[in-house]
Amino acid sequence: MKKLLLILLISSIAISIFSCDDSVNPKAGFEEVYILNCIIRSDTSYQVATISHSFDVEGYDPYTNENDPFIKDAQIKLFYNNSVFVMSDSSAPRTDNSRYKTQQNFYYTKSFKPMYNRPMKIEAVLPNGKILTAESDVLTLNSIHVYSTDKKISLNNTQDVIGFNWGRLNTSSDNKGVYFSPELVILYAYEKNNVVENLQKKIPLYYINGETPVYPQIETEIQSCTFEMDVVNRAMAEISGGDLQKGNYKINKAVFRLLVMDAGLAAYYSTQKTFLDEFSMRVNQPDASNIQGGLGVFGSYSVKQVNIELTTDYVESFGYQKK
Amino acid sequence: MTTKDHFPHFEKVFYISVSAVLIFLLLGINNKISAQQRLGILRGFVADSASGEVLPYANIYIKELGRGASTDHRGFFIMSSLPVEKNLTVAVSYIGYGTKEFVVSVRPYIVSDIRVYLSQTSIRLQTIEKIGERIAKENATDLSLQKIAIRDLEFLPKGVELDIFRSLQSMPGVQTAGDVSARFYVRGSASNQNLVLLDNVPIYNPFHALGIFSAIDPDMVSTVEFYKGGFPSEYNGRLSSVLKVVTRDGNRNYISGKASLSLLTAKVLIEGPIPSGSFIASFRKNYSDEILKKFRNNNSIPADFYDYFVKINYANDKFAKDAKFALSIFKSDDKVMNDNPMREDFKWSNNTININYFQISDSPLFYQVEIGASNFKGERIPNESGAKGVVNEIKDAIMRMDFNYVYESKDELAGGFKISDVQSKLLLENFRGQVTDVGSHGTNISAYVKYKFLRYPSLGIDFGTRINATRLAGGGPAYFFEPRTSLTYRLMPELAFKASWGIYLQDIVTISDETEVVTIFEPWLITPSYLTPSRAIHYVCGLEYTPSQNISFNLEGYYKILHDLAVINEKKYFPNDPDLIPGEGEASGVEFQTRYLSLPYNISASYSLAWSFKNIEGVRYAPRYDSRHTVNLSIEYDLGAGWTTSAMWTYSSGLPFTQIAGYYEKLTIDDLHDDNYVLNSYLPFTLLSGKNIGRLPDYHRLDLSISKKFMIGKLKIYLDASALNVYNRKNLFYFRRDTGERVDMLPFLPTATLKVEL
Repeated sequence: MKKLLLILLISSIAISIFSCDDSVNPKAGFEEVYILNCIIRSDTSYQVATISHSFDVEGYDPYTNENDPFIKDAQIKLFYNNSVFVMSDSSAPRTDNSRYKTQQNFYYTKSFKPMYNRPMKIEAVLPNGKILTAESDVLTLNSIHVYSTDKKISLNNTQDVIGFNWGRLNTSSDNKGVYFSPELVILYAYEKNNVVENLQKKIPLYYINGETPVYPQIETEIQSCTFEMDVVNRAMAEISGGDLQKGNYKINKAVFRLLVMDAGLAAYYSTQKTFLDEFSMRVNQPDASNIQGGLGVFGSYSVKQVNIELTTDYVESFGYQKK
Repeated sequence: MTTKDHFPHFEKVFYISVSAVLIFLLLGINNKISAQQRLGILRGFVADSASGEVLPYANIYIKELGRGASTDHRGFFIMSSLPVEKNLTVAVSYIGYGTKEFVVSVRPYIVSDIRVYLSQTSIRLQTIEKIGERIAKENATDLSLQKIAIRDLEFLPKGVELDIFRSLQSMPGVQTAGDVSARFYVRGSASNQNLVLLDNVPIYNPFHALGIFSAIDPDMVSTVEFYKGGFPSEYNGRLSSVLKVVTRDGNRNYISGKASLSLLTAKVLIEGPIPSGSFIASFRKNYSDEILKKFRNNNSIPADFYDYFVKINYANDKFAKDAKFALSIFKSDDKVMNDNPMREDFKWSNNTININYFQISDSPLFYQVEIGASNFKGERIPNESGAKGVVNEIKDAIMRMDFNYVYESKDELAGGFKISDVQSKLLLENFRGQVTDVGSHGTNISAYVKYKFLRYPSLGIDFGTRINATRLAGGGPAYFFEPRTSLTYRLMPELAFKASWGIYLQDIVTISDETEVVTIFEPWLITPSYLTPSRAIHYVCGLEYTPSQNISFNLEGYYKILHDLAVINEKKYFPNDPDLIPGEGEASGVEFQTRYLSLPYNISASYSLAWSFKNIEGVRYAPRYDSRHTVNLSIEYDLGAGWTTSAMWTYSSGLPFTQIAGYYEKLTIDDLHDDNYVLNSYLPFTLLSGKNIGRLPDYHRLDLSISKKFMIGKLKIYLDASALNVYNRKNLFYFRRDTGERVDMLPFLPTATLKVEL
């Protein structure tokens, strides 16, 4: 018995001496990755892009990085409708200087306004010869049809719903998909002590159990969107909430906006809108990229909007003023 | 993709299987007719003389014939092909009990029944018993099967307290995610592919306290049968392993009780006779989370749990001759209630009930009918944490019938059917507050037949198939065959070659997030109709070498292919994208185990070399439970006078994890309507390296234990003191990506348990 105990004791001491606590490095070897971001708007000819590189820091707080990762001197070209648009190198002051003291490097063109539903491509050649590319579709929408109303909500409104529909797009590459993100908002101002704050109230489609608002999602198959008038009325009432000074609220109008996006941008946008079903706690944030040779996003979108008048009698019925 | 695509020779395999079973049946029946005139059958029941409790896996040895058998989990055995009207000396033995010898004379035409009651003794296993055990296993088709009587576990270091699941983890091929979870992974498969049966009823989430302990109190357990793979056709519904827990019947002779106290729980057990039967009832409750803190870097775990079990047995020949009825009820209940509205709370519970009717007939036939139900309910209550609520419920109603017939040739025929009606509810809330129920309802009707070819002492073949007439859900064909076979061939008395092969189906899955470091509970879901149910093929072979009665060596190799594993769609960008997508899996390995038993020593050592991979959308990676090398060593030493000491050392090479490869400025778009976001809206984002390419440091730990058993009056006192992680190895659990802080597993921890038995 004594022999056994002795063996165990010696074994324990030996193991504890030789099994020094292995250190583990949560970091693998640093990977140099380049990130290209360019989102084409169809309502303007002024388009911008940025390129940055990945970085590493001492420790694990990326906010301690002070070396500006945004790259200049790259060549960026946009290919569209048999034309090539070269983006110029530039920089501008940052709105937030807390991390980087330098100006923000970016690329722009003032002459690219896509008009047709055609494919487009971006190519960025970095100063070190690295090439990043991506493809997307230009998506434009001709019109949105408003039904069940004459673009006006009044006190004598007899409709139960206000609805909008739109047609499908004929894109050059159907398999890439077209995604729609509709929203209906009420534009209003809150004025107090001569200070005016412009605000908007987003209107849900409906409420679950009368409590949880459900808003339109980013979807590819939808071509219409309908809001119940009871919900619109509830949203109007919620603008002031429990504030008895309802005269401080000046209601302008309601606006229905429809964002039309290509699949790449829609996926990227969706990961940040966090609409997904959440099964459990996750360590990793979701991410999406459509850049070949790197990360980031290249996409396009167009916006159509329809103004809905809110009549004075309707606005005043909530105690608000008409703007 | 259809079944045919995955198994191009499937139909051929099936027809060969069915044909072979029919041939074996005919052979067996012919043999019975010719043998009836000359041979007889001995059937027996072995139990404890004091309590009347059955003794599973007891050894029976007929000296004149050199033949052996062992009792099943009900304490029954059958030996056929015995010479009639000849005096035979039968020795019945069991570990910890005195051997009994008596002479029987088997009569022709009828089954001769014996009942044997053994008395406990302080003398441990003797030579005759080991011979009996070895001979009983001669042609047993038991590859990858571990039969464990609960008393075998009692002398090993218990940790905080004896835990069946943690005991399994010392077996080669069984992997754990660390000290903080009793969840186990068998031969490279996910934990949801393990079937856990309590008295033949599945338990869907058999864990307490965030998964640190199992929900099954070992004091109510009689035996554990654990198939690591290649399991026979009576089991279905999982791809990887079967853990069958059989509960005790209770003391048939007098009222007795136990009370025990560990640093975690207090529990009581009472058992005793009732008219024509017995009962057993146990209750366990935790009373402190102080010990749980040690498992989580001294972070408080506000866990509150209890479980209870009640079983009533009834056997009255006037009511039903040679029949036994049992009713068992089990409940476990857990709550993790943070006293903080900014953190989410969790609740989950398991409820099972089972009614068992077991019948022995005048011929060598056993059959049983069971009706049972299992209900699991889990809930995540988000409070103000920002997390989203989850409600999961599984209601499984089961009816099954099984029979086993022993031919005089020693061959056996087994079969049965099972109806399982499953209702799943899974309420998920998305970040827009929308609640959806992705649950469904399905019924699985299946039958199985199995022929055991055991007529030659050196050869055993187990051949059968399960036929699914309907499935719970999922795509693919409505019916599905699961042919399985197992073989044992004894090359020489000391050396046996074993092999098994089988196809397995699983159409109920958990939503397991592999990136999750702590799994509170995994919601169960019937495989959605857009996915084909998961399937696996097992190939296993091995050698068993027993050069002497004291020492044995086992070597097993396996290869496992997994198809259509339901995994979370990490690229679900849009609401209409599927939540789950199909993946493929592959696992292979070699396991070696040796045991040496010579009083006062009981030593075992095992080593496993394993590889496991998943392939999801073209990305091949090692899952988080893939450990290349695992070593387990245990030594038990009987000091005499009621003292026993033991040591257990475990080593496991590092588990995979995903490392940080850097950071980048990510464009964040809060609203596309805003201007200038491409210029101004960036936040740092972590850049990850390849999935699970990194490896955590190796895990190892030494536990020591000393136990003393003594009497005070009529009270039996058991004292156990254990020291866990004796050399205070800092085994890494995970690190925080945001701070780099390492979170370690269990530090050096002394524990003690006191048990009083009347």
